Amino acid sequence: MSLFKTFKNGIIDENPTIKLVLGMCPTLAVTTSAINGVGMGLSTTAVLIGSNVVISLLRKLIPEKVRIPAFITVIAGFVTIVQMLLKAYVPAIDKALGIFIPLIVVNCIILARAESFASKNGPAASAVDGIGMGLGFTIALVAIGSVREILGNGSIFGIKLFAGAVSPALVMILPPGGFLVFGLIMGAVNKATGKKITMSGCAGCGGQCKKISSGIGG
Amino acid sequence: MRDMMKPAIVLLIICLIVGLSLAAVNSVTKDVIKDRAAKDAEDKRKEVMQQAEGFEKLEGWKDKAEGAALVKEAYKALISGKTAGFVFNVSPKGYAGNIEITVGINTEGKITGVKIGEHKETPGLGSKASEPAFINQFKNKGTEQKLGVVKKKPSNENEIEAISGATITSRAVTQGVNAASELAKVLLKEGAGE
Amino acid sequence: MISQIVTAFLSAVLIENFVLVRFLGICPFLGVSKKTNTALGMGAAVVFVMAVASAVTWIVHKQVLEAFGLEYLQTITFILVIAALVQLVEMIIKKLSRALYNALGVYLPLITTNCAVLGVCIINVQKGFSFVNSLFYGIFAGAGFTLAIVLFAGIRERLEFADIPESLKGFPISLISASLVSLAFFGFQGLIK
Repeated sequence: MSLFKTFKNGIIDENPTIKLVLGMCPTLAVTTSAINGVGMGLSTTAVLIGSNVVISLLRKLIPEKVRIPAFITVIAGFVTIVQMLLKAYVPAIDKALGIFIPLIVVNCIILARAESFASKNGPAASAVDGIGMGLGFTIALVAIGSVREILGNGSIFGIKLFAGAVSPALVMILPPGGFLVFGLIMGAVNKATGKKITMSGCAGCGGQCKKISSGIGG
Repeated sequence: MRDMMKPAIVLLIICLIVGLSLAAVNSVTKDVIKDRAAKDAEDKRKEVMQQAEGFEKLEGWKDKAEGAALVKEAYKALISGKTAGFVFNVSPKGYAGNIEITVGINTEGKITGVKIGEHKETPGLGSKASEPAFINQFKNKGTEQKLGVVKKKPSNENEIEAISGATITSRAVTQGVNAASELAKVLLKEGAGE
Repeated sequence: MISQIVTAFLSAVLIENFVLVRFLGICPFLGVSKKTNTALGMGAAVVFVMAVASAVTWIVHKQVLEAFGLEYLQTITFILVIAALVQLVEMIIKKLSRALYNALGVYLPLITTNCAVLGVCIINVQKGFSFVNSLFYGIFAGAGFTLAIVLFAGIRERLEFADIPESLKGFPISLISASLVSLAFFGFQGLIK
């Protein structure tokens, strides 16, 4: 696959959020505003690029038996680095995303890409895959975040719309609105593309986890 | 045996390398994070007491006033070495978890400013507590009378208009400010000769 | 003491439900809960792992990380502890009772990447809970998770027979029903003053 195709694959054909339905928790939890979507999306992208490249470089050195624990260690390392950098230099994002920053570790997207791409491809392709998947995730989060912020808070990226003439539907930035907006966006994508989303979601993640346990057991 | 050892050693080496890189990043960011936290706190104190030139942490005030348990930290605000007032960090229980509030009170017993810090109040309802429309009501209020929350336009000097739909949050903030006022009164009386 | 425990229970299960209000553990919530029975099995496994993980990570945090000033290794240590723990629990259950293993075994591997488990361990530390509090919080959060997935499985069973627009079938309609369940849970807000 050419690098460009790999890149486009992550953003459109196999968009991790809309098409593969991976990483639901941050998708729903932090998208109360567009800017949170950007913060979470880019943090995850940074972890994804880092872990993809390192795992790709180590792919021939890591013994099969400890593959998954080794992947988790590398991913957790990158997550912690991102967490420390955010705390030091962008504390506003760190505060807004809170516990969901350390929880990037268990975001299925990252382990899934390590398993199915980085452990089989070279570092350059893996980096591009990380960027593509990361941006695909970011775009989906910003889309959901924008809809929820406009409807629920009457603003976009913090800029007030409607000049206070309309009182916003608060429920949209509360948890029920998260489920609702994401469900409707997915339905709209289905309608537009005429395709049904394949239920890989956690089935895919479950497959990963099966390997996790056998990996640690040795 | 060999088969078991190699994976274990590789995993151990990976853990070690990751651990060491984290230690390296931590040594760089640790001080930045600490400095930033200190600066943020100082900025908040400045914001509620703009004239102040510096602040000095106070100790030993814990049991001096009723409701002082809500007060987490107390500072003396200084202007050219003289006490100009006090700044308190209070943390009353709101609708969802504690609300961090910074309150400034000058030596005349007037509130110079209130600033809401971290909180978990409902977005769009309780979170409005940090907006000027609500928080500026406290400005220039005296510490003599306890402040109370009303659900209409305030008619008395000691009344604060509640945020609509967030009475619990409004009460919590007011309770926090009252606790700071009580303590300020005690400290002012004590330090009258200073 | 009793009233404190009851309050903590109600708050973790109903008011701050891990799945529906805090958005933790959404993956298994949407992926697994199609049959009430499987949902119950998964829930039981999660309660168990959360309780054990809360206890172990609390000790690790206090005795190792805090003692040596290594707090920045929290994420990496916790996830490895949880992964190893899940593996250990699986082996122990297999040895102890075949019946229990058959009932819970299949769900155990799924739990490592359940963010609710790592989430509860991190929250315990962030809130500075005592050992006993952490243990109880782990159990109660797990109970909240179980309540959510069992309730939702019941709804999903019904959805199978409903007439749904083509493009909303599958995931979208699940999310929309989850939204309504979550809205219902909002009614519990303010239950405890």
